[in-house]
This record gives sequence, structure tokens and C-alpha cells, in this order.
Amino acid sequence: MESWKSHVRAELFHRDCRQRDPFSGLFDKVSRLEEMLDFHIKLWQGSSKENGSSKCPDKGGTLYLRVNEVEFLNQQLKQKISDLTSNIYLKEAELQYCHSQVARYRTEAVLLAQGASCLKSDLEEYEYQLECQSKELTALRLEHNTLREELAATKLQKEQLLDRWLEEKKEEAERINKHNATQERWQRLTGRLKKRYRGRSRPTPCAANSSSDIKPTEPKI
Amino acid sequence: MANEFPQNREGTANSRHANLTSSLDLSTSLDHSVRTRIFKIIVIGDSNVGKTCLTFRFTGGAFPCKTEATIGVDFREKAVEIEGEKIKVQVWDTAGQERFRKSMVEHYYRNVHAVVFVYDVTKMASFQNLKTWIQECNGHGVSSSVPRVLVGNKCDLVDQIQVPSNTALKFADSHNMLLFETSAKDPKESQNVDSIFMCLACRLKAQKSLIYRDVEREDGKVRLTHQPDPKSNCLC
Repeated sequence: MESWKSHVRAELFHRDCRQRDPFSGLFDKVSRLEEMLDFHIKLWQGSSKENGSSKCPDKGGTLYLRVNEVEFLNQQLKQKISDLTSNIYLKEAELQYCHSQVARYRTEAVLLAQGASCLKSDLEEYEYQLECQSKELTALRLEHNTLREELAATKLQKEQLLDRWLEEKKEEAERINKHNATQERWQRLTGRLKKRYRGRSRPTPCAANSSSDIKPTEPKI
Repeated sequence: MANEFPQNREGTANSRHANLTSSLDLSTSLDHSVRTRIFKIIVIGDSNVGKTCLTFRFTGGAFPCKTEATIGVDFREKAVEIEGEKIKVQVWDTAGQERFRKSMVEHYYRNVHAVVFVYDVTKMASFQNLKTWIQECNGHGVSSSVPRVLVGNKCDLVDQIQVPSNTALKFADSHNMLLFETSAKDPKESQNVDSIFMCLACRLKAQKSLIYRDVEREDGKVRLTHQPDPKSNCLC
């Protein structure tokens, strides 16, 4: 391969590496040149129609072409400026909108930050409460265990007391039963004594009218 | 309650008069205490049928506001006069709950003079359990001559009655018992409550001759076993 070709290839390769869009400059250039060509053709057609009365003072019309080109470029630039101005207005409006949005978001962010701060403080408070409650729970569990043990002890004591009470009731019942039996025996004896006394006191009827039937038995008791 | 014997048995040794007076007092009080017969009546039935209230109504004349389960037995006594004779009605208010009575049952039935079976007219189960109570009573050697009455308590709860009167009456007839339907709570029924125990006391008093006959039979046994000295005047 010829050296200039390799040089061009290398240069093109470097340019492609430098430019993101490798052919964008070329296309722009081509489109500008096409535009200029169209303009020149229009201008040429216009000048050929008015061939009789020559407007351009220069030979060959180079100056004329240059002036028209400058005018065309001027118009283009005016259009561009107008576009850019409207674009600037648009961008300004956009910017204002963005500012308002920023302000709104800032307010929102402030509010959210305040909320977050509140939530954080709440969280801290809840954490503290949780800790307190956890400690309380531990204390209550301990107390519960103690109370349960006490309850068990009290239940045992109650059972023991109940047993003692029952035992005492049993003894009392036994005592009363004995007392009842003794009472009945006494009654039997009284009856017998009465019988005996009546038997003895039959010859002296006055004695039988005494107030207490048991009197003669006194010494025996 | 059990110890009603006079405590002051001693007299001054030097004073015959005082001795005689104390002996006379002793004899009078002895005579008084000995002559007052005691009728032991037990009240049995399911727990919470109103045994305590019934006995309290008879002995205290009122309805207790609050009662708790009877433990073992509660003793109540009321002195009554029947045909001029003073009688102590000794009411044994027994526990209805098995755990509070199991160790005491034999004491309930020892030398018992009458038995009152109580059921709750608003609880059919308490009526149905009467058979068990009668079986227990018979199982402890309570003689058929011992008067028994059937008492249906809580009659004031008219809307809740579950045990019809005729059913209870049939049951009482089949077991040769008198039936009383009453309410320990209702003050109007207090006469009825009194009449339950008074009726039993009257029947027991009427059985006096029979009891004495048994007693004389027992006396014969005592003489044989103890062989008292014929010369001795001590009757104890």
C-alpha cells in the first residue's frame, strides 16, 4: 500500500477515535455546502434572468456572490439568534419551573427532614421505653416467680392448716361424742337412782315431795 | 360446749355448812345438766345445698349473709322445751365436700339420734345423690329406728325448681321419711325450718321408752364386764 494512503487511513482512524460521531463533521459540512450550493444556484438563476441589466459592478460577479452569501449567512444568523432567543426564553421558563420545583422539593425535603427528625426522636423515645419496659418485664418476671413460689408455699401452708383444722374438728367431734355418751350414762344412772330412791322413800311419802330427786345420792357423787 | 360440768367441786374442808351448800349446788346443777337430754341430729347432703344455712336458721334464727364450705363439721345447739322437758338439740352441720369430710364420717354417725338429708330443689343432681347419702348412712350402722327426714331447700327460687314435689314425696315415702320443702333464706319459711328439727325432737322424745329399754339391756352388759363391788356406792 502506498504511504500516503496509509497515512490518511491512520489519520482517519485517529480522528474517529477522537470524535464520538466519526462522520458528524463531514455531514455538517456537506449539508452546509449543499445549502450554499442551492443558494448559489438560486442566485445564478436569478442573475441569468436579469442578464440584461447587470447589477454587479464586478466582473464575473464574485463580489455580488460574496455580498449575497453574507446576507444569506446574516439572515441565517438572525434566524439562529431568533431561535436561540426563543430557546433562551423557553429555557428561562424551564429554569424558573425548575427553580420552583427545586423550591418545592426543598420545602418538601425540609418537611421530610423535620418528619425524619421527629420520627428519629420518636424512635429514640420508643427505644428508651422499650428498654424501660424490658427492664420492667424482667423485674415483673422475677416478681412473678417470687409470687408463684410464695403461692406454692401458701398453698402448702393452707393444706397443712386445713389438715390441722380437720384434725382438730375430728378431736372435737370425738370429745362431743364422748360427752354425749357420758351424758347418756349419767341419765341412765339418774334414772336408776331415782328408781332406787323412790323404792326407799316409799314408806315416807313426805320425802317424795322434795324439790330435787337427786339429793339423796349426793354423797355418792 | 362439750364441757358443761361444773368446775367448782371443791369446798372448804373446815366448813361443813359450806360443804353441804356446795354439794347441794353441785347436785342441783348436776341434776339440771343430767336431766337435759341431748339429741344429736346430723345434717347431710351434697355440697352447696344449704345445710349450713338451714342449721343456722334453726339455731340462730337468721340467714347467714355469707357462708363458706364447711370443713369437717360445725356444731350448733339449741335448747328447746317439749312438753315441759328441756332438750338440747345438737345439730351437726356436716361438710358436703368429700375432701373435707372423708376423715370424719365415722364421727358423724356415732350415737346419732336423727338424720336430716338435704337436697337442693333447683339441682336435680343433689336429689339423685340422696341414694348415695342413704347408702353411706346405712353403711355406718345407723339403725332403721333412727328417725330420718328429707328436706328440699331453696324453695324460694320458684323459677328454677328442677325437683318436682311429687317425685320427692315418692322418694321420701319409699324410704320411710318425712318430706319438708322449705327455704332457709325466706324468713316466712323459718317456722317450717324450725318444725323440721322440732318434729324430729318430738319423735325422739316419743321414742324415749324404746331407748330406755335398749339402755337397760346395755346396763346388763356393763354389769357383767365391770363387775362393780356390791358394797360400793359409787355409781360412776
